Amino acid sequence: MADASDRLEPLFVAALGGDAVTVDSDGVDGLGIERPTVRVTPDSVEQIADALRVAVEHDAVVVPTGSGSALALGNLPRGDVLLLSTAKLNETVDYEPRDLTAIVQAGRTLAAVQEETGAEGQMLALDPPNGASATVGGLVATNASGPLRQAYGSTRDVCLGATVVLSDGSVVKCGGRVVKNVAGYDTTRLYVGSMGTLGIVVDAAFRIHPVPETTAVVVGVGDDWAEAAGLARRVVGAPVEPRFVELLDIGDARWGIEVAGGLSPAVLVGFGGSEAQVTHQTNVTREALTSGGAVDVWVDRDDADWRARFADAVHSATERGDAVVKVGGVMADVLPAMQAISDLVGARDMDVQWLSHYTSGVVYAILSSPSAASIADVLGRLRRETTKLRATAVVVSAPVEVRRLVDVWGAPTAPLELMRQLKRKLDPTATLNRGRFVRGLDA
Amino acid sequence: MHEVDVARADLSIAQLVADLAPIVGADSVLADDASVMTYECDGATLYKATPHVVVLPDTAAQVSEIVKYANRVGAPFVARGAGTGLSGGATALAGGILIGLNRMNRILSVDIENERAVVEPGVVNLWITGRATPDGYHYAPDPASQKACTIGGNVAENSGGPHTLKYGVTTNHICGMEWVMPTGEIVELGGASDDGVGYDIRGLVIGSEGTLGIATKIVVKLTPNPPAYKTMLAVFASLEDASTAVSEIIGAGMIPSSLEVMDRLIIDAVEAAFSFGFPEDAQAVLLIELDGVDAGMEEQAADIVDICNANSAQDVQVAASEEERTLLWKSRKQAFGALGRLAKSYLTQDGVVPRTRLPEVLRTVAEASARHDVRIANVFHAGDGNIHPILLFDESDPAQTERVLQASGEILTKCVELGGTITGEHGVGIEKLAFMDLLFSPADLRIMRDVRSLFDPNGLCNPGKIFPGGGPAAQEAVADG
Ligand SMILES: Cc1cc2nc3c(=O)[nH]c(=O)nc-3n(C[C@H](O)[C@H](O)[C@H](O)COP(=O)(O)OP(=O)(O)OC[C@H]3O[C@@H](n4cnc5c(N)ncnc54)[C@H](O)[C@@H]3O)c2cc1C
Ligand SMILES: Cc1cc2nc3c(=O)[nH]c(=O)nc-3n(C[C@H](O)[C@H](O)[C@H](O)COP(=O)(O)OP(=O)(O)OC[C@H]3O[C@@H](n4cnc5c(N)ncnc54)[C@H](O)[C@@H]3O)c2cc1C
Repeated sequence: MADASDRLEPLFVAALGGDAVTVDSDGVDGLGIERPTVRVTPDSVEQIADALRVAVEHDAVVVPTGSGSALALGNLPRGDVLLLSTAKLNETVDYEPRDLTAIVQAGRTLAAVQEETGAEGQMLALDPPNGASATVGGLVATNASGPLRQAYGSTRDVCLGATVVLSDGSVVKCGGRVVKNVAGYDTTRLYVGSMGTLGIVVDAAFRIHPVPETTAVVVGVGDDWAEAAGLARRVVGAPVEPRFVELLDIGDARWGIEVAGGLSPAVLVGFGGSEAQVTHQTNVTREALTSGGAVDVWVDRDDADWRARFADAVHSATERGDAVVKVGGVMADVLPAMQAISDLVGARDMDVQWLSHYTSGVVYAILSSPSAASIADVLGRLRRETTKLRATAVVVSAPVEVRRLVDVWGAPTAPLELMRQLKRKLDPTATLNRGRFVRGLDA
Repeated sequence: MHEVDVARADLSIAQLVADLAPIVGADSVLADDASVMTYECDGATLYKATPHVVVLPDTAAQVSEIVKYANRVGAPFVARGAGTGLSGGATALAGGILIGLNRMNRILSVDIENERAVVEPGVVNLWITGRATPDGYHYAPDPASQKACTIGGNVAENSGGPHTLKYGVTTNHICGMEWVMPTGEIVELGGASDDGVGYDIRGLVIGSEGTLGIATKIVVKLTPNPPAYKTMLAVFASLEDASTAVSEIIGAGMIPSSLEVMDRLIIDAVEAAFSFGFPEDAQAVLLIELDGVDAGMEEQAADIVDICNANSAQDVQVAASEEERTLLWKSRKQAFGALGRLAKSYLTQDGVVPRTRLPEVLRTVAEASARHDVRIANVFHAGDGNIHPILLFDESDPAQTERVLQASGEILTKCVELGGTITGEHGVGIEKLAFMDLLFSPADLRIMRDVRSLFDPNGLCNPGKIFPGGGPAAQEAVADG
């Protein structure tokens, strides 16, 4: 059988010119493709539209990609895949520090946005797992978030609008660039978190925030996870306003953190603000954690290292080929979800490492095992438990072998039929990311 | 009454009453003239149309039955909360069935541990805060109408309020809903968790102005009360100075929870009503509130006072107690009520510009006021760049009304030119139909219309709103009906 690339390459060379087309000869790891795969790198919105028209006409399945760091997220694509890279759309369209808003092209990296806004004492308040390489388009497509979501929300909450190319090549705008806007339907929300199945985001407008004058993290170590979660709970009731309340396995050898007794369940409470605000709050929190029975408590100034460790924990899990499952519930679900996963793992040949955005009710479990079947089995059973908790369980990263065995998304939290109809309206040929999002969407 | 070209549905009132009574009970169907007149408009009083009947359901199942029935007979229907909307959203343009949700007003659960409450749509915004206060929590979005407006209405308009600068608008505080689709089926959108799977349909329907279905149960987030507040009121000799102070406060890296401005006309109105004792030559009042931990707040407040003084503030007061805080807020909270003294009718505009463009748009407001000989009062959420020019007139005078609409149009056009939008929190409704084309291309609007017809294939759910021309589906349905 001829490779899809032999069929597709000349079509796209003809449409976009040879400079815009390359072939990834070894295939695409994260997508489970082992055959040569065509990659187009358009240099304008018009070229993206052209590429989509050709793809629709010749039934290529377009997988938009920014840095490609989150391709291990999502089910495996169906059909003849064409990678469409946004790498050349990497400019800042408009950044007005005094308005605290920025419009950025999809291929620009979060790191570049942070550098530019940082020069003005500002930031895009998103710190997702692979923040160093992630692109703006990827953030929007995955509704990415990290520890800072406690204070600033997820991508959904800071994205004000976007320009999107639909699979028929039409270019549409949604939302705007001002912080309040209720003109027409809030279609921006449709694209945020849609995994690039409805359109290709070419630029997005964001609310920008000031960087606090100073930051700090209070670390409290517990004997076990129940105790760490109990400590987190105490902080929620205290008269402080944390930027994040995280549970983290701090025993990771690479971080070189020494804790008496080699314990690793910890709560991390982050603060930002003026010196006086941060000092006061770290004092109150230290006291709350100590009187709550923490085994060890200390304060680290500057939260950057800790947030980086969160990102690193997830990121390196992907590199190692571990599976990362994200449970989304409410605060009271955190401990039961951890318990359920521990029970399922039980005596298997499997390690679990934990992270949690405690106040958001989110738990990440990093599962490592030599057996894909064993991981898939745990994930399958976990869904039954989380359904009881009315929480969601998404496999945010897993090796291809695992993703062949499980549906990474699980049941959608709104009627599937409505989603299918939306998909059919906006992408009738299921050209965009066919097969990668919730099961049955484009079947 | 102002002309709107949506045909009135041809329906038999007697038949509607006979058919709806078995669903909700005869007591809960109103069709006498006095009753339907009560519902002829919302807060946008320029637009009036009476429904054929008003029904007051008590359960989601009843709402669903009513909607299914409406689809069977081709009757348009409109959900209504408190009717405080300012764009005509709850006005039954084509007549039909008005579904009043005020009886579905129970707070079903308050889960402090998880910072959530589950409420019915007719629950008044402030009630939630009332219930959560003993536990040290509140519901953050706080429209100035919060003593009256309902959560269902807030969801439909994606409402904001004075504290949205720091806390965000309605969509940032709703996790899930039980929702009656425009065809009558009851669906769940999202849940208690913020991390849904699949498309964010919850986000899509928030702000849909009653055109994509009806919320029958709403999961809201509760926010811990800040440990401390610091409220300040600065008086300026010009609106421009006040606006510059706002930009500089934000520019200094501070995000107060509120930055609200009122101009001279509003000051006159609140003075006449409450005698606050503002200086005679004051042209603008800026209300600033900080919230958060006590530590460091004095310093921030001092910085803000310095910024105000550097911008020629005539006076800056800092509230020293909760009573003083309430007093400073009173002028802002009573502003709308006090305006009733100045004119027979008023039209509250709602535009947004990037914050730094406030001085420019305010100049346009002043020019439009002079050119069209319309008195315009200004009260605005300055931190968000969200202006509310309030145009004072007498709606029984068609010439004045026409001038008011002209002036409004110029202001909104300017907002769009400056990179802003035609509505920040009140919605398009009927009032801004003509301006959607300014903001959106035909392709942008097509997506929205596609969404509309996908949700509401028969075009019966609040027809005539949001889309210029009433939306093809809507018009057909009305014609058929
Ligand atoms: C191991 C791992 C775990 C992760 N876990 C989490 C997590 O737990 N929580 C979280 O919030 N985020 C998570 N992410 C997501 C990640 O932080 C963001 O997805 C990131 O922004 C990806 O950016 P990217 O440029 O690398 O996107 P890519 O990897 O290139 O693409 C990611 C997805 O977005 C689509 N996409 C990319 N660009 C566009 C565009 N311009 N228009 C439309 N669709 C587009 C792609 O088709 C793909 O489906 C994880 C990522 C990885 C690698
Ligand atoms: C004095 C005054 C001050 C105001 N201040 C503010 C402010 O600061 N910020 C702000 O954002 N707004 C403000 N408003 C506008 C108004 O109060 C809000 O739009 C409010 O959300 C409307 O709520 P309501 O219950 O009165 O809704 P209604 O006026 O009854 O209805 C508004 C819209 O919601 C729809 N609707 C109602 N209930 C439901 C439901 N359950 N499901 C689906 N759709 C539904 C209706 O069909 C209609 O389209 C103010 C209004 C007044 C009069």
